[in-house]
Amino acid sequence: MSEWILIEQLRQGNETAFKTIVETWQDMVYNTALGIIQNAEDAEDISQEVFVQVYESINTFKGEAKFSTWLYKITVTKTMDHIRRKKRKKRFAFIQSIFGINDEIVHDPPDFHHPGIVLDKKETAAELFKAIDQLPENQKIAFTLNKLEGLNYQEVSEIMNTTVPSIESLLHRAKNNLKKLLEIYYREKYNTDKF
Amino acid sequence: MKKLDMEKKIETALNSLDHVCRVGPGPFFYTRVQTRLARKERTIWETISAFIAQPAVAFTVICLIISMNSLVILQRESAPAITEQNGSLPADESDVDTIAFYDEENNNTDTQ
Repeated sequence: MSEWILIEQLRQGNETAFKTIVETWQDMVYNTALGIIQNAEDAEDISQEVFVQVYESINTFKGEAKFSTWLYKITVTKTMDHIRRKKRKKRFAFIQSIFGINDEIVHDPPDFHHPGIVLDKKETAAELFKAIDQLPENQKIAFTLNKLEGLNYQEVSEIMNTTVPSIESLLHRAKNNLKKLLEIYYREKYNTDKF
Repeated sequence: MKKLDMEKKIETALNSLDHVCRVGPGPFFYTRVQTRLARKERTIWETISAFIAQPAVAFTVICLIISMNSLVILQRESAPAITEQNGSLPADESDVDTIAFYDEENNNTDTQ
């Protein structure tokens, strides 16, 4: 069934159309959220939120861009909101622990292992994900969409509401930053300064 | 670690996401989305009744009603003094001499 027919049916409140939409795009939404947030539970939560938003605001979708682009935009926005909320909670818990209100210890998250990566690359990919997590927001989004979702510069620029050259420069900076972060990480890991 | 080895390791790490498979959420994802939607679709009255039904809210409302009732009872206890004071007012007001009033009116019409 065509994308447009489904959207039109969803606008009329058709539950079957909504089910088809969820089942068609759930992997795309979940994989994107997972790549950015690096936590399976949070990615599931975000994916649910995304489809609830789709159901509620399908009438605002004008059809100027592709439906998948609109979905990517919602996913990225929701994921970044979730990250900001998490950071706020973490800061609040830290302040509480200073004043002795909350004695819970704030643990650093364990290494993230993406389930879609082959076994022999898992360890190296986990090191890369650690570095990605330290990138600035925009670089992190652009890199994840390009590398994990395999989107080209044009598609990434549409999702991020920017131009193709700015995405090129964003990805270039992201790669340079990742190289630096990985270098620091490997230096610490192998405890050496000699090159 | 030599510089060349380091560069190789960084390059390997950067390429580790090549050919990554797309993963999806767990089974019955649509059911979970539906549950979430149902939770959000509660009407305003359901939300209000759920709020009122909360033990803390119900307890506060009961306390408020009891305290308002006691306030009214306490006010009533001191009420006789006020009614006595005000009680004289209607008596004074009813003390209008209706005959005198009509007489005055009659006098006015006579002079006209």
